[in-house]
Amino acid sequence: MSAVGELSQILSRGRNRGPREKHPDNRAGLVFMAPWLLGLLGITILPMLASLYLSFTDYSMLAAPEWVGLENFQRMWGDTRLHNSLIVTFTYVLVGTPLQLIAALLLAVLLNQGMKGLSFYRSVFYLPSLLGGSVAISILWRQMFGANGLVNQFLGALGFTGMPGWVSNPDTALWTIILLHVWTFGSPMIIFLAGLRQIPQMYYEAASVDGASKVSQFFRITIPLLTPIIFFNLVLQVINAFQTFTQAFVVSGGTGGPSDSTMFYTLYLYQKGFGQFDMGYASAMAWLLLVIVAIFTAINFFVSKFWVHYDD
Amino acid sequence: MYTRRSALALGLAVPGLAGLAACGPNASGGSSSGGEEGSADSGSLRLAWWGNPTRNENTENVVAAYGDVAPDVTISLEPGEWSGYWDKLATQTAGGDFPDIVQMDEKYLAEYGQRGALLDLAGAGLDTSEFAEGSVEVGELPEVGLAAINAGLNSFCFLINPEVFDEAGVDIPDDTTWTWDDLIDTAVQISESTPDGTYGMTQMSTVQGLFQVYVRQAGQDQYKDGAAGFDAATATEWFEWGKRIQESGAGPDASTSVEDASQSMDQSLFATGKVAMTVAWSNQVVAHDGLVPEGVTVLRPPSMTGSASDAQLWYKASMYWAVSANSANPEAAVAFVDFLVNSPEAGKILSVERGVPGNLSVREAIVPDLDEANTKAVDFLNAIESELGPAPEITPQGGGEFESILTRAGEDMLFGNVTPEEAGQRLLDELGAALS
Repeated sequence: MSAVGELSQILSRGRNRGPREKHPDNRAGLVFMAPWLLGLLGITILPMLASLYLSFTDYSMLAAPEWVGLENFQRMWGDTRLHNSLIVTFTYVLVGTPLQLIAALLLAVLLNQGMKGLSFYRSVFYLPSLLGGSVAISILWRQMFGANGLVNQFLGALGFTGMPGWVSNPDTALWTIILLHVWTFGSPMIIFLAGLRQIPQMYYEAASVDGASKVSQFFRITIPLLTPIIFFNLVLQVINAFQTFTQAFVVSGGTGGPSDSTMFYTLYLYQKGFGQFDMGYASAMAWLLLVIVAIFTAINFFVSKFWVHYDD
Repeated sequence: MYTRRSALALGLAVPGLAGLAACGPNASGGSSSGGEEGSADSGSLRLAWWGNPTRNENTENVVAAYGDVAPDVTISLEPGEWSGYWDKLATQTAGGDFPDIVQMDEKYLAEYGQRGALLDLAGAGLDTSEFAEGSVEVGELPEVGLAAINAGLNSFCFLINPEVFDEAGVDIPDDTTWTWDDLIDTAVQISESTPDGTYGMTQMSTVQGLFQVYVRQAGQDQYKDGAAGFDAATATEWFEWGKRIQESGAGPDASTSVEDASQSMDQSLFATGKVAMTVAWSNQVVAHDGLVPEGVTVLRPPSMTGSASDAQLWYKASMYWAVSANSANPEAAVAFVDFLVNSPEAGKILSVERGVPGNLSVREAIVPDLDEANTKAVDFLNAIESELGPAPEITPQGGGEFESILTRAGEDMLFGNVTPEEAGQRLLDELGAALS
């Protein structure tokens, strides 16, 4: 099994079966880990604890935080814009992530055919995921899908004239961002490619001797043997997708518009905290997001028992 | 072995000892500098503003000119764009990193002032004796005093691209008698007699300044006693008017409007000659004038009665200068602000780009030398002086949200997701929630 596969196996089992040492000498280990440990404490754990505290306060950043108990969380029930931002984010995650993984898998299979110049194509297809989260690409996207953008000019050449701007229409704006997300399939694709290399050729040889078609080989050999990798990619990409911010911020010019159709959860959180001086509420929202992501990941791991096959 | 208490005591003792040491007889200059550790950099200030290339340039020039007046003061510049400015300022505030001098907007004045972030400039001795009547009070907050000083006056106006009027063969209306209906009728004529994709007016129902003009003409105002000052019926009428812009063809469809609103000024429909009329604050006349080949014509907003004397316009402080309450060098900061608003020399460099100066002697010193575009803005302000309505209330805390609430409700209505009535109610509800 590849390193990635092992990792996902460890992730899914989470148990260390090795015998425990009686008297471990951890000091050297701790010294070597110190740089990472200090970073974890200072840059992750402490700010998280601070935000946990702030989520129970009314904090405007200009005055000292004031303890309000669960009020921030109670306010969430009545906050219709928050509910809308959840719908937008869930749509993005539930539609965008599977599409992105399918695109990644199909291209990985294609690139795995042993064609000439493979490393060139691999780089080309990987490029979007390096650029996808960047501000420049988001700006480019906004221009392309604008009323006079490249997409409409292309459609105009095909005879579809007078199309509205895709990013300025509440019915289509979110879908352009989902498309941008699907386009950044590079990193799961690379992981799929590594996984495909691990599947022994003899299975395919045996199957073709028995007369199995390429399609049934794909569904009966490739997919089942690749499930640990698919699972690994799924978990990572779902977590990533929940945290999408840059694309939404840039494509909508920071407004989440038109009429809140691209108001992602993280964007709303940002507006609450930095636009409306409501840092207590924003902190509470951050913790709700953490809980949502944790629940999704837990569901993923639970469901994985029924469809992920490990070769042991 | 440290107990928690002894560790705490140690923590207190160490800085205390250091402080004692600094005050000791052997500390160099300890008594003469009054124990001020920061005296070495007492002449360094940070200045933050939002703007455009013109404003950035003249702000740099005015800071350079101040170098001759106070050579020992160094001012570091933090220019920004409107959209990112407030996010950045909020973040800096949270980090205790508020610049010494900031350009402030009316929308956020109460937000920062009432939370104690701004210095009382009157208490710090800023001279305001030469300011026009009513132009200082717009920076006063009850609990703070003079939280910010007016950097310039402006008012709300209509901008006309005469070229598009010519092309359509339509006369520019008389702005002393035109009504809101005349405006739409004129715009429809223009849309109909120009090629597809050219419109009479922009979609104005998401513009806060014009909304305020409208509700004031209905005998109300945007705010009253710190709450919404208008009722649902007026807000509904406003959105119905906005809907008519779209449905009559006077203005573009919803999607084009949304896109236009997010464009930079030079890419907008107005600047590219695709629309005949738009709205702006009068200090933006100069910027627009440079973008339209023939130059813009400045008009009063329409009135409900067909008489300019009922237009209920007001002089707004286009922006302010404010000093941080936590500045390490408040005297130096206030002295610089004094230079900005009271010195004719600074006035000549800054011109009327931030609005017409409230200081009358500065105004007298610069107005004769203004170029044509700047003169248009000044003339407009002079022309409406006798027609002004009462001064509006300062935006209460949370009111900085109003524009985005109006935009959301307006866009939802334009895309047909809500009726004008629902949009009006939502405007009131969401504003109420933001202000509480």
